[in-house]
Amino acid sequence: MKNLRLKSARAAKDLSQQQLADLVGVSRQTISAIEKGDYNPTINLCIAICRALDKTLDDIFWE
Amino acid sequence: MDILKIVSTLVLPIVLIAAVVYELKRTLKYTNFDERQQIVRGRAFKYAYYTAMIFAAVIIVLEAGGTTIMSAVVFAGLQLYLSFIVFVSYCIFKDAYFTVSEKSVKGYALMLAGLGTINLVGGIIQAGKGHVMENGMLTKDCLGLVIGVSFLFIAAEFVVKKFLVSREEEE
Repeated sequence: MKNLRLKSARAAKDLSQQQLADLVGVSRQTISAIEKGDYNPTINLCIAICRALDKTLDDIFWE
Repeated sequence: MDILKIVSTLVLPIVLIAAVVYELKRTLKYTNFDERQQIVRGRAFKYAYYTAMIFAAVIIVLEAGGTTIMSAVVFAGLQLYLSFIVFVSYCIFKDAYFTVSEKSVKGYALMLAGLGTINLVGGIIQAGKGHVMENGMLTKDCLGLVIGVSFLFIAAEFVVKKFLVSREEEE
């Protein structure tokens, strides 16, 4: 299932996939895979993404 | 001194040493695969292992049936390169071959293409002389062909992947 909330939160911060990937220390393809719903990140990566986007886990990853 | 001897005694060792130094520097410098890449690489190792096992099983069955198609050296070489191709191909297509810090793959692809071409040319020359198969068995001279084809295949894969990535619009 696509993670549209991550995509919109990233767009709201005006970050590209590569910029967000650099901020959280992963590859661009990993961010792309999370947004497409092809990969379920670990809680550590979820937290790192939320911190980079100034969001909570609920905002981005909770159904 | 024919061209093959010049290549094998002068050029090939230099290219191989350069490749080993490049790979060692790369391995020491870049170690940071992200969590998705580590999972993919684990899967790639598993598939490479299965490949090696299936290849061994096929050869053992053939051997048990009285058909010997290669020596132990050729078997070891082919098994190694088949597994290598499976591992590298899977990692490349799942974006897990290069670490997070590595941006440019051009030099690596060029090095593989160079090594592949040198080995392929050597292998074709050996095949032309009829050294690849003797008495119905593959000789170790076939390994040059295998290395050449596998390296060129991987180099081509880098090009295809780069093309696919460039087409992929960042959403």
